Amino acid sequence: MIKKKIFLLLTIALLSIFSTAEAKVFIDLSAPALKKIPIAVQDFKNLGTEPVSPEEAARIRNELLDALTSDIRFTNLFTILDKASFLEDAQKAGLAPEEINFKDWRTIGADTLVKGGFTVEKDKLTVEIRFFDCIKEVQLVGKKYIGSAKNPRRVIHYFADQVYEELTGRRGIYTTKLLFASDKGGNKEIFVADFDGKNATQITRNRSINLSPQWSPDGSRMLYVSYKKGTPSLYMLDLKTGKDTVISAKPGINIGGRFSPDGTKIALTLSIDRSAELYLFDFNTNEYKRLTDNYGIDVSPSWSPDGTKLAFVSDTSGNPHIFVLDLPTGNLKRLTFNGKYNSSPAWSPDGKTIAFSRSDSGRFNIWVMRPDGSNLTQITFEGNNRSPSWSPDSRYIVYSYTSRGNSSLFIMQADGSGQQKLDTGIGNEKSPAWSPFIQ
Amino acid sequence: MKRNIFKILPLLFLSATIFAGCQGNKIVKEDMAGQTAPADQTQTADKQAELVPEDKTVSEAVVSEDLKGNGSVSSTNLGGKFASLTPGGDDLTKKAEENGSLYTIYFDYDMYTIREQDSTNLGKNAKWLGINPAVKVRIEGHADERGETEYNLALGDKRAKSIRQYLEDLGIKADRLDVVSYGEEKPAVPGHDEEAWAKNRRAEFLIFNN
Repeated sequence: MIKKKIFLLLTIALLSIFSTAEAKVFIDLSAPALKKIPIAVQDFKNLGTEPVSPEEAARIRNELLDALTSDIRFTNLFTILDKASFLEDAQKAGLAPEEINFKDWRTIGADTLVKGGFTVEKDKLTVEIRFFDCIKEVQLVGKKYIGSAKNPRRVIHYFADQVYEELTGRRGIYTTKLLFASDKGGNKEIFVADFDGKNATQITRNRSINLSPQWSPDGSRMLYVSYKKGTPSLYMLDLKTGKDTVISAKPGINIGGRFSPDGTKIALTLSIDRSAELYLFDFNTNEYKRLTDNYGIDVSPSWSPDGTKLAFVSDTSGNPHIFVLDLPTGNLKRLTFNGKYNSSPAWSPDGKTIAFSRSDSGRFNIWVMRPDGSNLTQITFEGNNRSPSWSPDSRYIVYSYTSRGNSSLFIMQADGSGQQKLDTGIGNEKSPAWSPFIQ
Repeated sequence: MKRNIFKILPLLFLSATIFAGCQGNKIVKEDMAGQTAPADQTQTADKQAELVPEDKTVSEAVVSEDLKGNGSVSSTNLGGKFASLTPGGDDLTKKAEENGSLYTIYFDYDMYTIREQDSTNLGKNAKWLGINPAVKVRIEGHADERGETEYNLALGDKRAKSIRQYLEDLGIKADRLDVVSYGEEKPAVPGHDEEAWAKNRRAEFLIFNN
């Protein structure tokens, strides 16, 4: 009897999980010409009775609101309404659905509304957030989290991941990270930051030149080029333990290391044999295999997600162009024929697109094409844009924008829309690398 | 450890749900459930606030890393007394004695071939190295800031190696000629126009042993 009941309950639980998963696709990302949904983002209400200084409460409230507003903006699915039009006082108004005057919110054009509150107890930050459909007058999502008061933004990013997945049926990128290089402190060092550029932290401190950071497929290690022993060599830093290993320090350049999707190999450029050629380094055998053999430059490999192909830059046709090498057959296919300078190919994680930067005049812009070279499309037009790197969900591209010798990082959607500058607080950021999904 | 606890939380929740079901109780979500939201949705009640896992992407061990590199290899330059191409000294010998360097050779944009107008200075560098056989030089290849970091590193490498090949062809032994590429990382001048770029696309000769 009990067994039967348990089975029935489990079935119901599973069914409801599946049915809600389907029913909850509130926003269909595959729909053409998605119309942006007006949203009101209300200030967070301090629900705490514990004594916390007004400054501390204000800091947490501001960080929560800033992260939430910023995450919503990054979705490119909503139009955020001006707070000046709000009719209620966030610190007085209630959070529960029955306490909300949906009519007031509809009056100012808010089809949807997010409200939240928090309490702080020493380092423990409790945050509740609710997301409402003001037209149907229902709560779509209600969450409560316990996080750290030291990093309120993380609670919001975690929430954003969950809600994004509930609303769209796809995994969110809000807890992903970026690696980048900056020489703002005098030496070029590597930094890691949240995907939105915040919480930037320096992770190399060797006071030489550090370049081209790249993630391992599981996000636990970083490949980078460093001059810390005098010449450009390839290193691997374990981000969990801090263990730093030399991967390749041969005469000449040891650059452009990229993990294969299964993590067993590294594609890189060495110039030990006179010219800069592509090689594969195999972790299992510790052996190198040369992939190209010509007088020119072969650099910047990017793996296809299935690990069978490498897109890379070669100047063998006179000036830099994008080529694809099929690893099992060794067949080489040229993808670009125009542009004086084509560089930094980046294969999207879904395998459908290769982004790269192209210049005709010395100013670069980001372009995209299919992996066979068709559907070539320019997606940035202003300034000098280089080094595209894909978000793990293939919806966004982070890239470096340079003006008057100063670089900053931008994120845009894969079609070039919704360009947003990232404020890392570091300055002169270059060579961004978007992490895989972490956790 | 914390992570494990987090992993089993949903399991605990599920078993609690089943247990509650066995008691014949209606599953009621407290507070956080919206008025029309079904009780079996993933909405968390007050008593089941979810723990946000700690951000462990980069550990403290990494952030506190303080590896000291030897910085610029150029710092190993040595001055000294050298034989001159013309009796009584000359410009190149003065350069070598004062700066520890020889003539810098420049390149066209995205090119690593030696230009006609630079062959005179490069020839003088070669001759000078010929009469100062104890001198070893480091040829540093550089690119201007345009283009991509990695391509520019390869370009600087090609430029330095073109020079080395040229000198080898003139009889200078390869073991006296070290090469290193800095790509676009060490511009000679800071500007962002053709005038500056032309000065930054270069190969420098730095004396590191005599």
